Amino acid sequence: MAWRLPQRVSHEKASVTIVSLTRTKNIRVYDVSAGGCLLETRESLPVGAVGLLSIDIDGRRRQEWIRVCRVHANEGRRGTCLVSVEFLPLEPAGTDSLRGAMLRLRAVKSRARFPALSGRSSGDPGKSEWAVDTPRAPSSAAPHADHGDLNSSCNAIELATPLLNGSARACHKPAKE
Amino acid sequence: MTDRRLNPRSVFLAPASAQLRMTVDAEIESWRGTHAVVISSCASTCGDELLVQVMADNNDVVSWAATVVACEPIIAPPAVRYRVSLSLTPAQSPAHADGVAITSTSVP
Repeated sequence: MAWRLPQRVSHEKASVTIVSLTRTKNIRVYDVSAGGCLLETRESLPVGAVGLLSIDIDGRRRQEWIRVCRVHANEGRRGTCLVSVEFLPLEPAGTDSLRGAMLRLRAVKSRARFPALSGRSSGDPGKSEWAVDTPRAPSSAAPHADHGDLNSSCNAIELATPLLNGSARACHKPAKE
Repeated sequence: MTDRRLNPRSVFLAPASAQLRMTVDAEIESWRGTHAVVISSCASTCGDELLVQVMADNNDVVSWAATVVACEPIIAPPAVRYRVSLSLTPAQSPAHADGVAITSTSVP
């Protein structure tokens, strides 16, 4: 292979060459929204790290640039970590974009049921439409053992059913005390 | 619940398998044939498979599949870094799909 390092690699010339190291990790995705998702990894990731997430949904590969927001050691589950990531809107959400798929589904749902939505800019916290529409879980419904705090705010699962092809389960807001 | 989350989430019945490609920058310390030593801010484990990308003089990005041979910390201010020894094999570049810009910077 006819290739050589750039000459500027020499430290005597007061410069260095930067390379990029790309590592591929196999992970698992627990949930997804238009803004981010929850991952499980075998090793911790640094908060702020950026990566490219690839996932097959409905037989189609979707990718999204993500940034790590929070990392929680998942004690009791083989030492894995739960990693909250946010999507980075570095480019318009195309057809192969995970973020775009979720946004489109939300938009379709909103147009069908909520013709006049309020948003955060109007002072609405952004969840009122779901609170109205989504039936609350009975008090006897116990949250998932490992994601009780996460499930407490998770709702509107029917929104994603077409995308996930029936592979999603309902996750309702608990009734307020 | 705080107002931290803005969008309703959809939960998989069973966790879905996915791949995450993380890219970090590293500085070449030495490069001899198929063996390279780089300085990185992230630690690696012996046996880890990495993709090393570097920009050549003609601005082409050259990719190498690398296996981590050794990794040792460099404890010095301002932050801990790691000296990573790599065994290299020429690889095909994934067409910039996941590449972070490869740049050359001057030492202050």
